[in-house]
This record gives sequence, C-alpha cells and structure tokens, in this order.
Amino acid sequence: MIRPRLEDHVLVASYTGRVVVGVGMLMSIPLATALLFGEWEVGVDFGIGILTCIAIGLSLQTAFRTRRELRRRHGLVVVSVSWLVVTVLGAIPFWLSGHMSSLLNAVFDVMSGLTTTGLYLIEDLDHVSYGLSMWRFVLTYAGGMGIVVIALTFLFRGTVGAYQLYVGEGKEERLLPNVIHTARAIGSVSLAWLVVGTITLSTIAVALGQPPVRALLHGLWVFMGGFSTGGFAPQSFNTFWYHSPAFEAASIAIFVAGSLNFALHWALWRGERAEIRRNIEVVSFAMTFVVLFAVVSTGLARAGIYPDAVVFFRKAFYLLASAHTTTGFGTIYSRTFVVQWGPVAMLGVIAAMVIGASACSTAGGIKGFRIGVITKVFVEDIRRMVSPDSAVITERYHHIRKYVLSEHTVRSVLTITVAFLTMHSIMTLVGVMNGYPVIEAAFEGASAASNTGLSCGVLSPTMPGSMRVVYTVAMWLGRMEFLSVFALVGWGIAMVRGR
Amino acid sequence: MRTRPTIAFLAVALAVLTGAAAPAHAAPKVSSGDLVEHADTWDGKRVLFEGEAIGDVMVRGPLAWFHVNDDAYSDRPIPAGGLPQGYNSGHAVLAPAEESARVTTFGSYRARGDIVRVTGIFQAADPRHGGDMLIEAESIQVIERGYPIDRDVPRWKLIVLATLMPVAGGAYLAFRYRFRALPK
Repeated sequence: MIRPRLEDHVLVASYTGRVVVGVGMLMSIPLATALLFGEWEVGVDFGIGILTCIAIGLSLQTAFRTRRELRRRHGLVVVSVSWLVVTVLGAIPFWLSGHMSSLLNAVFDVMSGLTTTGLYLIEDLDHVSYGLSMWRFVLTYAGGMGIVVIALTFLFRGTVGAYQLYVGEGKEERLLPNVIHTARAIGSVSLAWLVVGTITLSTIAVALGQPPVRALLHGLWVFMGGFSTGGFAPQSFNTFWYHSPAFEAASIAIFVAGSLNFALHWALWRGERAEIRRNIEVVSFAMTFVVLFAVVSTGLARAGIYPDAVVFFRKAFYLLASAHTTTGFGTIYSRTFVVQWGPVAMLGVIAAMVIGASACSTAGGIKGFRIGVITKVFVEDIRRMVSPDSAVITERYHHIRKYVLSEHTVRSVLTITVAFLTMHSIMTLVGVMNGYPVIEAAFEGASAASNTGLSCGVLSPTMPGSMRVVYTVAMWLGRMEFLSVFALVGWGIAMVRGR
Repeated sequence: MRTRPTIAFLAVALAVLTGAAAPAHAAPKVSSGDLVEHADTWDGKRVLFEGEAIGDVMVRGPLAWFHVNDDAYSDRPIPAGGLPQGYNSGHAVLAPAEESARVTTFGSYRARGDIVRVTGIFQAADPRHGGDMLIEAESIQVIERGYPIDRDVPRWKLIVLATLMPVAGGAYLAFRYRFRALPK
C-alpha cells in the first residue's frame, strides 16, 4: 500500500477546486431564473452561493496549484471528495430559502438531486420559488450526466485524466476514442432530448389547461426530472398533478430513454437499430419488467382497487416503469402503496428498484447488464452440467458488439451485485431498528440505495437524524457504484498505514 | 292575523334554505391524511374538505382540475414567514368549470391561495379518471381570499453578499497571479 504523498493531496485539492467553481457557474442558471421572475431574495441566495463557490474553488486552486495530470487513483478520489464538497456548497441556496428545517435536510436534498434519486425533505414545496425549483432540476440533470465530467469538460479545457473522473462517476463506456469527445457526445444526445422533450411536455401541459409560462417551466422541469431518472417534480403531487394519460405517456418515453445506456443511444443515433433487440441490457430489462409486471398485477388484482382493465394497466405500468428505470415519478399518493397496493405489489416494485436499468445511463440499481450476466452464468453452469467433460462451454453476450463472458467480467459483476444487496439489507435493517414495518423499511431503503425516489411514506423531514444520514450515504454509494467511495476509503487507510 | 302567514312563510323559507344546505353541512369534514389512510372507508361518500388552492386550475372542457392543500402552510406559507412544519399535503379536486372559476388566487411563492371549502364525493380510485384519487366537487365556496406575498431581502443576507464580493474578487486575483507564475 503506497502512502499518498503531498503532491497527490495537492492534485486532489486542486481538481476539487475546479469542480467547485464549475458548480458555482451552474448556479448562474437558477440565479438568472430568479432575476427573470423578480425573486430578489432568491437571487441574493444564489449570489451568496456563487460567490462562496468561486471563493473556495479559486482559493483551493491557488493554494494547491499544480499542472500535473490525474491518474486513476487520483480521479476516483477527486470524484468522491468533489461530490461531498459540492453537496455541502450546493445546499447553501436551499438552506437560505427557509424551506429546510436543518442543514442536514438541505444536504440530503442536494445529494438526492445529484444522485438522481428524487427523494426530498424540502418543506412547503408548493410555495417554492421558481429560482430554487430551477436549482433542484439543474442539480438532477447535471448529476445524471456526471457533475464532475460536466465541470471538467464543458466549463474548462479538457484534461488527459478526465477518463478517471468519467469512470469514477459510474460510467465506463467510451462512445468515441477520446473521453472528452465521449462526454460531449453524451451532452449532445442529452441536449437534443432536452429540446424535443421540453417542447412535447410543454405543449401537452398547455393543452391540459396550464398557463403558457408555467406550462413551459413544468415541461422543462419534468423533462429534466424524467430524463435524468431523478423523479423530482415541480409540485408535491409529483406527476399525479397533471391527471393526463398523454402527459404520462410522454413522461414514460422520456424516462425510459434516460434509463438506456448512452452507448445504446449513440448506436441508435448512428442508425444501428438492430442493437435495441440484441443488447443484453435491453433484453434483461424487458424480461425482468414482464416478470415483475406479473407480480405487481397479482398484488393489485388481490387488492381489487382498479377493477377497470385500462386503469389497472395504466397505474401498474406507469409506477412499475418508474420504479424499474429508477425514476421515481408517481401518480399515486406515497401512502397508497401501503394502504391500497399491499405487500405483494410493493415487493414487485421493490425488486424493480433494486434491479434498476442500464449501466452508463442516468439510472441506478444493480443494473440490467449485471442481471443479464448473472443469468448467463447460470445458463453456462447448467449447460456445463449436461455436457460431456471434454466439451468447451462459452457464453456470449451482445453489448454494442459481441463479447465472450470472461471470468474477470463475472467477478466484477458479482462483487458489485453483492455490495448492492448488502447495502439494501442494511438499509432495511436500519429502518426496522427505527420502528418501521419491514416492507416499508425495505421499500424506502431500496428507493434510496437504488437512486429511485419513490416513497411509501417513511421519509419525512422529522425522520430520525441517523436514518437521514444513512439514506444520504446510501444515495452517494449507489450513484458512485461503490468504486469512488471505496477509493476514498482506501486513500484514507493508505494515509495511515501506507509506506 | 297577518302575522301567521308571515311566520308560516318564514318557516317554509327557513326549511327550504336549511334543506338546500343540508347536504353540504351533513358532509363530514375530513383531512387529506384521513382520506388517503382510510380510502376504502370514505370511497363514494360525500365529504367536506377545506384548504388552500395551490398552483393553477386546469380547465378541460366542462370540468376543471385543481389541488387543495390542508397542511400547516395553508395558514401561513414559508415565503410569508411561516416555519417549516413538514411536507405539503392535500387533495386533487375535479369540479365543474364554472364552480372552479370562483377560485381566483392560487398558492405559489408569490401568493397565499384562496382558502376554499369543497363539498363533494370522494373517489378512492375513479375509473372514469384514470384511477386517480379525487374529490368530485359539487360545490366550492371561497371562505377566505388569498393574498400576494411580498418579501423584502433581509439585511443580513445583503451584508453577507457584500462581504463575499471582495473575498471572491481577491480569490480571483490571487488565482490569476499565481497561475501565471506557474511553469508550463
């Protein structure tokens, strides 16, 4: 174990400073929104936030100046440290707004936004300013793309070590040979969707009777909440606010698109349409969705709350798709899961959240790729059992191109899967130890750890502080897929025990 | 002798008026928490629900959707100086468009919305409206008009902002100076 040297710490601090300045620049979007709508106090809140970020970010870069490039171990630690620092600084406007009863709650909401979870502790959301609303959605949209990558590739000149940051934020696919170009390609795809999605949702919202300006803002925000699979919505009623099948259909298309691997988006962008039916993640998602839809349907049929077939399908499909893509949009009240849906349907939703959607997307959870690989391993083992000893058994999978299932892939898939399952168990245990029923503790814990954001009513601003801390850490671990956080822990251990 | 017809007329008028008002007064007053937690119990029953109209009204042909919050903020929203007291809670209301037109101010950052009294039938999962939980309003009464919220920027925030300006400016100048000195 190599003890990090002073220049390593200097490098981490310097890059963290860059990211902090980048986040300060992102705050100019809600600042402009606040000023546009004459929300002067909100404008001052964001002014304070921006100046704090600039002062801290530039001071870090000045005090720890370096022109060295990042290596893998630095990149992962920079991501971890940056997310922590940015989460605290991003909470300043929340804290100043008066809508949070504690700084911990403000930090929770920023972490939830950045990790595209969508759980929230903000109070009196229905009286929140446009400026602060915009910040919630900028956080979740930027968090989905990777806030560190955005800061380093869009707001600054590119860096050689950017790939380490890219990997550290839970993305590994290179759409293009150069990672800066890859990050920009992700940005281009996301921006194209932003324009089309916002126009679509806003048009529907106008048709539903919303005034044009509010319709435009709601369209933009629901798009940002959906495509990032974040699940934040402008009103406390979430997407239940709109009471419209057209709005629900458009939002499903958006959050399903957001939950797809950016490499798949890129392949489709280049006209490789066959990829959508061959890709291991798409196949895995489709299969688990069908199975879990059967589970949820069984639960709802037993509960008997939706006797009409169309209504039954609409509610079950929307909520399950929202859970499986780890979006967290809801068209029912939180407590309806408990008092009307019942434990069987809730178990189906929990499983969907735990599995999640695609890797290298904005979604969370174990991911369809890993479920697909684990299934392939089972198939391979069964084939091996029924084949002669001399037979050479290999499994292949398709993800943009064909791969042979390797020992290394299986090991890394199982490691992350076991880590996720352990975290879900701990989350459930923490909830139960705080006095919540098992099913509700499991539901809420899975929602936080998989970065989904659906709630069955456990989460509240007055929930025990220990649970709010555990949920915040779980959202962070889930979004980072453990890698960067483990790297930070390893960095700390190496500082003490390294040579 | 003239007093008898007058008394009789008044008695009949009173009976008609109380009779007409009876369904509204007979409806039990409920909270959003009651409705969600005991949806089966209240399903299909006439209820009376009071709270602040928030957001906007969405008129769709002869009907209109809007939302009514009966939480602590319907008394005093946070932008109007209220303290954080938990999440918003409320209910969706589906009303005849002409009834909903009585509500003119909707709660937002800029306004405390009208406080309304809604009398109607509670539907736990209305199949005619996508299985949504709602109150199908028969009558809407505005019991307290909303008001605009004006906020002055607190002086302490302006002082913090003014203090941070030279700090950030100084950090920028130091950054420029030291990075220029760094060998490439």
